[in-house]
Amino acid sequence: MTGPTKPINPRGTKYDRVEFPVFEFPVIGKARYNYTTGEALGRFLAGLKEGKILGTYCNKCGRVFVPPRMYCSYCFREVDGWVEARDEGVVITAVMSYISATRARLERPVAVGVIKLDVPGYQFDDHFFPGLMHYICGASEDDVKSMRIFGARVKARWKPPEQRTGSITDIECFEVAGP
Amino acid sequence: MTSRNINFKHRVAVVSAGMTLFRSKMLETPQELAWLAARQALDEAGLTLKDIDCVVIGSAPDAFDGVHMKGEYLAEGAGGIHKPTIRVYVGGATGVFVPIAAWWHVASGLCKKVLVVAEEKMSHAAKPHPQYVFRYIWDPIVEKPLNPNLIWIFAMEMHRYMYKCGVKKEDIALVSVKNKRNACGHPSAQLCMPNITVDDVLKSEVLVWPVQLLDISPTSDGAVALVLASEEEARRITDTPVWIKGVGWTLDTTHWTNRDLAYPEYVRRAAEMAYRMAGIDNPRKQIDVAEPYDPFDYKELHHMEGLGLARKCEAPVLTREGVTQRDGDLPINPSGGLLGVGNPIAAAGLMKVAEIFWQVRGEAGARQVKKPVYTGLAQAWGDLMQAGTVIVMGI
Amino acid sequence: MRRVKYFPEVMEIEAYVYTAGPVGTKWLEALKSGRLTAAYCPRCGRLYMPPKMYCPHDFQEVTELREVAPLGVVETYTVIHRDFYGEPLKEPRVLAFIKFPGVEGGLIHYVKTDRPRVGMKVRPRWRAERRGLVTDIEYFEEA
Repeated sequence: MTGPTKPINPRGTKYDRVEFPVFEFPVIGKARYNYTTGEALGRFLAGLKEGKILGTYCNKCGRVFVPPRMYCSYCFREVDGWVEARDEGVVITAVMSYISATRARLERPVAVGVIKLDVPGYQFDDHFFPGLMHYICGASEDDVKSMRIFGARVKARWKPPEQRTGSITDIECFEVAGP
Repeated sequence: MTSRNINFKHRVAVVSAGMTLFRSKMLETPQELAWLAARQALDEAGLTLKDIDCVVIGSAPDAFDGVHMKGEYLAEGAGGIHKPTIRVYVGGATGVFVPIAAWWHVASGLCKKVLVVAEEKMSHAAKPHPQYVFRYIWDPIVEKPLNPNLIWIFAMEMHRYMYKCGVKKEDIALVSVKNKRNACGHPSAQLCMPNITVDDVLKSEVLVWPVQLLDISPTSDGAVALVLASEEEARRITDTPVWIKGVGWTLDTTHWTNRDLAYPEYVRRAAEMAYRMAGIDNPRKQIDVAEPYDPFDYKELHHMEGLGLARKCEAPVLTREGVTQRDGDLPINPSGGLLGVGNPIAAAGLMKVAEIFWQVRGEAGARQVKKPVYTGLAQAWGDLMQAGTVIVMGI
Repeated sequence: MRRVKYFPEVMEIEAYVYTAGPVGTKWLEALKSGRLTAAYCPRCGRLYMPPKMYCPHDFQEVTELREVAPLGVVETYTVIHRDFYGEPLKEPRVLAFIKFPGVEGGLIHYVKTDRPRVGMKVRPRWRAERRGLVTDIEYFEEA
């Protein structure tokens, strides 16, 4: 069909460099946040300090939550209790990052991924599982590019107990288990 | 065309659309961007601001424009002073959610003519870079201490999709090539690249493997506006109102590390809701043109499958075979998408709705798809791999 | 049951850079040359301060700025005794909303006076070195 291409004469003035008066405001006194961890994550972080990965479970649907919640969002009821997950599992997805959080190029690339954790007495499919995002060490660029890393078994490398603070960084990374 | 299962008072149509340029840095203030788009939409409909009953505004995090209560701040430029005005926000899905919220206004009988405006000015969050605002999206307790970059999450989803469906980067790069070329037909486009090739994409800077620079949409400033009207008003304003046949929206959990990333379940549910309302049971055959959300090239494929336009893992095959080109059997993103036109977070989705509007009326000119268009679909996605919004329109 | 109660964090944008828009930028440049102006709507004839590229009344485009006599009237004011962090100021400051005859809207600015009152006539005191910002006016003083 013929006719003018819409939108007709869209307006707006672009600029590349600031060569005119603007208002620049540095964000002074950065807002400091104290996020309450709540019931579930509070206990989860305490568990990490002790070198354990804790989760909660719902008996009605059989789900295990890591990171833990106090309620099952699917059955919409309180969870039935706590369970300790193994600090090892399987790589569900992994990528190789060449940039830092500020988009600067890293000296050495790092591997990051989602790890599906083992929980004794439970089996999980790909649809819903206890999982965490974390660094993966012992994986080369080629391991990631070739996707060999998918499905690899990994185990948490913990910081020494005196260096743990009750944070996800108490785990340094998940290490690819040897052959 | 009657719809099943849903009873509402009034049929709703889109009667006009307007938009600004999309550029990475624009001089106009947020209100002025909103005004430019709103003015064009009103002019196209032959209406004045007095004719509008209600206003719905969509804008993503306040942290971009750097003004608290951004919707209220925009209200004057969006014509919302002394009128019932609301702002809605679901991250990137906002662009398609705004017309859905406006649909509620008209379908309920409360408002007869509604002005819909979506605006984003990402360039205000200048230092170090607007991308930095996305740092707030992570869970502060279990994710942020790892110092993540937002691109990680997309890379992980992309890699999982590639793994499950056996898709190679070459296939995914075809989407970027198609959209950045399609954008050359769009007067507002930020990134028209008429000669881009798969090779260019594969040679671009690797950010987080498998994501490379040309796989991503840019940050942008821009605004889009629509006018929605009830049936009797619509017929007075234009000879070709485009009816809203179905709307759907769904949210999933932020615990994205607990679910399979290879398939967007929330998009499927939102689509099912919209299809049920529109009376569509075979989307592949009944949808003539679609604008799924494409902030990254693999996302277009991902969403095509969630929308039921392709079977699981079939989307890359359709792309390779040229089915999704403008002259293909199921044109996808004839506008150039976010990859080509630009990505001002909230306005991008509304740009897609405007595109479907123009395609159905045959006004897309250089971008007009070859096959006749009766029914089209626009979809947006947002937040931490969570929100899906879908709108089905047609004549 | 032991718990880690809080998790501290910091927000990270370092600086925002706001643009004034096409008409706003011209207004700032007029301030830089020591002139007070307002946006003029050709349709309804109203003058607006601060300026924008559209008339809020008619929703039509505005491109013109017209000079305004630098004589304003205090519509309302407040006296500030503490700074942003709650520390007492050395001297209290008067912040006023200043209207200009014939102009809709007005300016919020400091007024240097010991006797602030509603209806007081004020005049801008321009800085010697101006950069094209609202602070090119150092303060308003009694006319």
